[in-house]
Amino acid sequence: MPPLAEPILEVRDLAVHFATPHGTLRAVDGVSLSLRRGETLGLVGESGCGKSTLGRAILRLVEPTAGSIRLAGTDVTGLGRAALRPLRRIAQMVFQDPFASLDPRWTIGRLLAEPLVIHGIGDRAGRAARVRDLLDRVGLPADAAARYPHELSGGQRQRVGIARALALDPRLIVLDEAVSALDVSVQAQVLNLLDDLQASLGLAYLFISHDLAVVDHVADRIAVMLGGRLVETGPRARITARPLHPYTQDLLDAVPGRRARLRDDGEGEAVPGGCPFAHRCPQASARCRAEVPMLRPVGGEVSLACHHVALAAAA
Amino acid sequence: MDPVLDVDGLFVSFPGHGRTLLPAVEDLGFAVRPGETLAIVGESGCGKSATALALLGLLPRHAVASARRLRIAGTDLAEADPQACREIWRRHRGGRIAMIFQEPLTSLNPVLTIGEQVAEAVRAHEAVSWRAARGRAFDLLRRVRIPQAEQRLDAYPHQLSGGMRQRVVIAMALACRPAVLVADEPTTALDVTVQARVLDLIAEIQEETRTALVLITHDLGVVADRADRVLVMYAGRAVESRAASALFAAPAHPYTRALLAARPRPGWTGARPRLPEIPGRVPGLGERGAAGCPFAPRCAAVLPACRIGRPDLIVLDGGTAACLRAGEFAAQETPRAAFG
Repeated sequence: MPPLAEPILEVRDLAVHFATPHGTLRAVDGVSLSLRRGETLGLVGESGCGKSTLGRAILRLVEPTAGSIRLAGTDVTGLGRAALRPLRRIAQMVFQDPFASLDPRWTIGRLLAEPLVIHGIGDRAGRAARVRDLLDRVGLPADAAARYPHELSGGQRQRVGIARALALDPRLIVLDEAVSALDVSVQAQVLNLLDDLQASLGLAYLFISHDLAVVDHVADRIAVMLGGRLVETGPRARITARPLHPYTQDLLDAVPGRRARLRDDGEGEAVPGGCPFAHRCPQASARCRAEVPMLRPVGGEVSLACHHVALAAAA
Repeated sequence: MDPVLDVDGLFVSFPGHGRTLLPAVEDLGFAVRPGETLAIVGESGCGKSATALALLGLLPRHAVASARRLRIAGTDLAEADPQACREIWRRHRGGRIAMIFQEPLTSLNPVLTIGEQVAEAVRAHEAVSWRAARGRAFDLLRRVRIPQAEQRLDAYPHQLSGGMRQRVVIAMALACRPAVLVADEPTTALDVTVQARVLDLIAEIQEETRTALVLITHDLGVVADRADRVLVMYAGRAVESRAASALFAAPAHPYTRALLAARPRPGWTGARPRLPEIPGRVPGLGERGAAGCPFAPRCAAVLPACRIGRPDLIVLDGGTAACLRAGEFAAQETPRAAFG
C-alpha cells in the first residue's frame, strides 16, 4: 500500500498523438495532473479538446505516445495486458451511454457479474450476492438483476453503469460525460448518488464534462482543457468565481442562464506551435501565435497557460 | 399582432397493446406571434417532441392526432380533412413552417455537398435555376456565418464540425423565410460556446425576419436566456404557461419549481449542497389517465383534492398554471432569486 499522501493518480507530460492522412493529430499534448483519494477533479472543455482521449489514456484504453501515468504509486505507462489487469481494479470508467458497448441480450445481473468473472472473484453465489449489493448501493431494486437494458430508463441505465464500475472496488472512477444525456431531475439524482458513493467509499473522480455548471457542482478542483493542453487549473471556487484564462471566461459566459452575449468567434484554425486559443482570443498577440504558453502557477493554487494574463498577474 | 401559430386542444396518441390508445399529448394550447420565442420545456416523455412533430405534420403514420384549432400562418388545419391536411402541410413545410432537429446529421445527406443541399432547399420552394440557387446558398452560408463559405459549398457534411453542420441546417430552414420555425433541442448536441453562438444567430435572424420561434428544450438555462414565453409540459400536459419573466420570478407550478431547484447552483460555498430531487419518475404512456393531477404522486405540495380531479388552469400574472395552489406559489418569491 502506498502512503495515503501519495496521489491515487499522477499524470506527467502525457501525450497521445494519432497519425491521420492530414498529419499528426496531437489529441493530448503534454498534460500533467494529479488526483488524491476522495477528491474530484473536473475536466472541462469543448468537443475535440482531448478530454475524453486523456480519460481513456489514463485507463490505458488508448496508448499514450509519451509521458507517464502512475496509478496508486505504480507506473502503468508501459505495462502489458497481463500486468495491467490488477490495475484495472483500481481505476474504472463510466461512459455517457454505458450500454453502447455492452451486449443488449444480457441481463443486468450478468452485466454486473462479468467484471467479477473476468477477474476470478468469488463463486457463483458470492457473485450473486455482490450483484445484489451493487444494485442496492446505486439505488436499484434487487429484481433489476433479471431485467434487460432496454427495460430501464436513462437514469436507471446510468445507475447500472456506475454499479458496473464499482464491481471491482476501484479507488478511481473516470466519468466521461456520465450525466450529460440525463434529464435535469434524473441528473440531480445521479449527482447526489455520486456524492454519496464518494463519501462512503472514498472514491476519487475524474469528472469529464462539457458542462461547466455541472462541473462547478461536483468538482473540488477544475482543469480546463483546450487543444490537447490544460490552459487553467485550480480550486473550483477560484476558477468559476475569478477565471483568468480568456477561454475559461468564454466557457463561463456560455453557461446557459447567464444572459451573456458572446463576442463573435474568430475564423480559422489553431496555429500549430502557438497558443491553442490564439485564433479566438481578443487579446492575442504575435507571441501567442508563435509560442505555446506553458502552464505555470500564478498563486492561490491556480495554474495558468496564458502569455498575457500571466504577465498581468506577475506585474 | 395576431399569432402566426395558434394551437388549441391538441391531442396526440400512440397505439398501445390491443386496441388501446396511449396519450402522449393532451389538450395542449399555445400561440406564438411573429418575432416571438415560445419555449416548450420538459423532461423526456413529456410530449414536447410529439408536439413539434404534430405542428409539422411529421408524426408517424400510426399516431393519432387531433386539434380544435391548428392555425399556421392563417390556415386552420383543424378544419381541413386529413387528405387536405397532408396537402397543406406539404406546401407549408419549409415555406411557412420549418423545423430544425437536434442532430444536424439526420437532416443532411452524407453524399451531397453542402452547396447542393442548401441550393436544393431553395429550389424546393422557389423556381430558380441551379446557378441562382447556388448563389443564394452562398449568401445563406455567409448569413449563418460559416467561415470560408465559398469553399464550404463544396464540402460534405462529415468535413464540418457539429456547430457548422447545425449552421447549415439553420441556413436550409431559413432558405424560404418561414413564418414559424420549430427548433427541437437545436443546440443540445453542441458545445456550450457553440450553443450560445448558434442561439445568438437564431435570435438575430429572428429579429430581422420576424420569424416566430418554437424552441423545444430541456435546458432551463437556455429558456431563461432566450424565451419570451414558456410552456412547461409534464406527462403530456401543460402545467404552466407564462411570460418568461413572470415564470422565473415566481414559478407557480410545483413541477416548475422542482425542475428549477434540481439544477446545479453555481457559486456554492462551504459543504457541497445536495441537489433537491423529485421523487419517483415521469409516468409512462400507459400509466396515465388516472384521475387527479398527473404530478400529484411526486408533488411536495400535494393536497387531498389534487388526487380527485384534474386541476383547472388558473389565471395568474403573465399566464396560467394547472395547480390548485398556483396562486399561492405565484405570490411567493422564487426559491432561487437569481437564476443561472
